[in-house]
Amino acid sequence: MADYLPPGVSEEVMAEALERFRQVVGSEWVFTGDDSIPYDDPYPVTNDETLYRPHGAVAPASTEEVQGIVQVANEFGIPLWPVSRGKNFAYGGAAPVLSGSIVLDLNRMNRILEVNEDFGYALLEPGVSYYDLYNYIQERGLRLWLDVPDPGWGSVVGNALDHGVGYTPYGDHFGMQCGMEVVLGTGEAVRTGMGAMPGNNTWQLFKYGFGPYVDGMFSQSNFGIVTKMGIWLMPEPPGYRPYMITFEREEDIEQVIEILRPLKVGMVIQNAATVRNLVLDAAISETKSRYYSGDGPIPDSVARDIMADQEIGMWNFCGALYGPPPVMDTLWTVIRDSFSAVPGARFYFEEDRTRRPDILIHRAETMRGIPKLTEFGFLNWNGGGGHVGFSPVSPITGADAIRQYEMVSGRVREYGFDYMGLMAIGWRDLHHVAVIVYDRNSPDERTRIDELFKILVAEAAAEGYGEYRTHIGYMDEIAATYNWNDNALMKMHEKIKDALDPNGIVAPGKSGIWPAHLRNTDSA
Amino acid sequence: MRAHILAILAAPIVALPAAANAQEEGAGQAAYERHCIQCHDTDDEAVGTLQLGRTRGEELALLTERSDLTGEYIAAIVRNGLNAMPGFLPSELTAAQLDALVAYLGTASSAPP
Repeated sequence: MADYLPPGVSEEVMAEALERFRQVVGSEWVFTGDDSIPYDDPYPVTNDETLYRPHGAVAPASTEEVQGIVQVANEFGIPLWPVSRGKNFAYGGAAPVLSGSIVLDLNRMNRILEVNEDFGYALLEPGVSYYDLYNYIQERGLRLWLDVPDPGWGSVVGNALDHGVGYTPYGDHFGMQCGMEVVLGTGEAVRTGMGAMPGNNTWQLFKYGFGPYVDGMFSQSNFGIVTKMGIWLMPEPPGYRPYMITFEREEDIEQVIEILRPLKVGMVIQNAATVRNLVLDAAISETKSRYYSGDGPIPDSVARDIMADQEIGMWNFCGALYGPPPVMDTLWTVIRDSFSAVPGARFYFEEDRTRRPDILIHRAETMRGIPKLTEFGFLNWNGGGGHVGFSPVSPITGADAIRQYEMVSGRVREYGFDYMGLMAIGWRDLHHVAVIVYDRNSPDERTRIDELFKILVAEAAAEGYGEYRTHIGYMDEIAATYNWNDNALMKMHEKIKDALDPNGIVAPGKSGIWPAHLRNTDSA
Repeated sequence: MRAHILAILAAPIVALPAAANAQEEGAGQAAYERHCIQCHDTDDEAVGTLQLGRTRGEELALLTERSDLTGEYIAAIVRNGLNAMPGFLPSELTAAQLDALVAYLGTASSAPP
């Protein structure tokens, strides 16, 4: 493969830096040439093969080794692209924004430093996956539940840092974060919150410590490298009852979200609730060709066939009840009666579902924090395996939900793809996550995806909707939409960047934040 | 890069050698159970098994029962991915572990039914 170099770094300088990295971590943990191919984005959204290509990777095993690498990177001007597990696949995987970067691969930092059953927390290194933590808890018989995103092989730390969501009452992952250790761009290690006080024993119990609360600065950012993080875990509840409610018509989403808002804000619905559309749920267990052999998105008649075949709706709300049985019974009465106002709504518990695989049977495990990879099935919908997430945020209102749905689904179908989306309801917000599945091997589809995505960002911004998270290829576009008061927020980010990482070696371009020497250049 | 992968994909298909020894087989099985089984198991939600069944036929759906893949092919797919499947990083699955995995799949596929 071609060796990509970062701006201003010669082959000789890179070779010398790599040699120094080898001295820090051992030669077997520095990867270049063909060994670094797995660090490419497996689902590229561009036909330009020079974009998002790492030069290589280095995999430290400790905070001290991270500090050593940062020191060398500063000395030689080598950009580092930190990844926890490298499995943020809808958003670029392990690949960097800036070609020629060295991926700082934290997979080997995979120690579970503490799990506290009484207080319900874990202190983790970034290489710990959901499977790792789940297995640790199961092997010890601890009465704690995880909250998992759809794929369980990713990093607990990395997912929280990228503002990922899950499906239990602890579904706001960064909201459940408590205390960090961070290596700044200067190489200095910092502990946040109560961790800054030597001998303190509340690092994972009280988030705010004393003075400014800075943890958020290290999420979706390039101000430092998180090397440890606390995460709160849910005590196993005395009862658990998952359910699914299906809705028959596309336009039902408006009424469904209006019903959901007071139930969610009032905590009658306890977990991070998601309403998912037909194709996203159907694609988990079947491929498009089973139902439709034509070109372009499926017609409405085929959608009806799929609904009948899989006994699901045009929209499907999976939720769960947690608590003592009388509490669950009472909550269910309110939830059932509320959604009965939607004509054609159907209500299911696990015992009502006979088909296998089945969406409720699957999600019943996810909503109790069992890590899985079942959701990867939807990547096979049309055979090519590519996917990218478009994720605008809105208030939890029916009007916003239907507006977003019509805007995004209309454009997605215009470009020849099926709309696959979900509305995830947070504490006060609605994340609309539209997953666009495409053939990663098709240059034509990659061209269409890239054009479509840029249109979606611009049209969403024009309506006041901003994305909460994105693929490495669209970070600049999305950052540019957060431009109130003459880009005041970005100007502040840049000042912080320059102060904490003066040589600009940590993740140039992450979230649209570029170091001074690359700002307003062709790289940015 | 892509030409290299295509060359491997076009390579003659021969049966894999069995694992050299019990230690390697144990390491290979551990690698399989850590990295592969979640998608290539026998259950009805194993997305890799489901997709191989659709594209290659039911008799070739289960990785541990296949004898038609070369070790080089398996290694290339594990590192580079294929369609929906992404590749695995050398930090999470080392070269030695990948060799053991390839050998394990050879043993598994040559085991009597």
